[in-house]
Amino acid sequence: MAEASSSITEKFFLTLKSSDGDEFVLEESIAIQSITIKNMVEDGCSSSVIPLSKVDTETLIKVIEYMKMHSSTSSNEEEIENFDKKFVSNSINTILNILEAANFLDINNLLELCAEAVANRIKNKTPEAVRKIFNITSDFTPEEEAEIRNETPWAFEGNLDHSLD
Amino acid sequence: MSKKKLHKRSVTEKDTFGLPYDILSDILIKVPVKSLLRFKSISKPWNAIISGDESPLKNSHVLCSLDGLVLLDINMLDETFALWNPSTRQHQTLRCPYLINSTRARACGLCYDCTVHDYKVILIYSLFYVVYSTNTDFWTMKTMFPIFEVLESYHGSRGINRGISTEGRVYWSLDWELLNQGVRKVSTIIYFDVKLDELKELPT
Repeated sequence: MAEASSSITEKFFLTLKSSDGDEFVLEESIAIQSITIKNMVEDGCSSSVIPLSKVDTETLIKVIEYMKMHSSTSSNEEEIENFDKKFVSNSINTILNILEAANFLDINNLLELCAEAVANRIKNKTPEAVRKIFNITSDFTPEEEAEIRNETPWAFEGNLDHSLD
Repeated sequence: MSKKKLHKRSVTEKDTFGLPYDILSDILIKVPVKSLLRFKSISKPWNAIISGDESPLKNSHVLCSLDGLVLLDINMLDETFALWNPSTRQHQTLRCPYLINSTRARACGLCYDCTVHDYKVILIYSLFYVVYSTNTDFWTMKTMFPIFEVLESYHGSRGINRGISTEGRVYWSLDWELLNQGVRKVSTIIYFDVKLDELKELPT
């Protein structure tokens, strides 16, 4: 107890705190996939708990799952591929939350994965469905909207998806 | 694997886009052209972002069409085009794998090979051209013979000369300054012959 281990294989741990106040302990080598966290560690700001005020608990759990799976030592390519596939089958709202967290935490491959997933989910949707998903109110007059539709009417044709997920 | 659901946070009004601008651009860059054209009608901010400076649709326009097939210039910095069939509502993004980023097509065209029922896209650069076959999904890179070098294009740096398709050929009337076998020319007509699979200069 008195002899502190100074071995180079010593694992360092970080504590991440969600916006809901829940704390998660994670190996530093895994957590620094987040460039934001990596910078904090390098700046010496990581001795205590790292507060992630923009990431709620549910989202942070997902992000940590992702980082654990993608940390270089523990997983093979096929496992990662299957994990990613399953990961993006979360609800679109969950993915959007993760996307924002990935943006804030600066985890580029997670950002890419989620952006791609959202793009795939919305690409066949009607403008009305996309508005609902993103909580957007149209600020077009009916005439203005009709004008845009008339520019490329074929873009509004076909089997469009009205669902919200 | 069912994780315990914790309290759910819905996406609330994030600025005017529904979510931060950066994130929305990350998503929209991966959305096909047809969807982007549709999403312009979502709201004014979405229309602005889709039609804006960094959008794949900026200045996107129809370059050529043949038998209802349309070639679009998506006009990203990386020379991405799209081939469109409005009647079947299918589209395909085209990006020649041989190009380096700074090259820009000087001319483009579409032609149809009736013997094998293949539509081809021709993109002409300075010193070489590329042919894309819709049947095989392959790009072929060819050098022009006789080699002519485009010294100056009067379409402006971002303009593109659009070919005129007839049966089995695409013609371009070039008002470019060319170097052809050491001789400077200020205008010429060239054509792509689908049977020969080659670009030729029309003898004058």
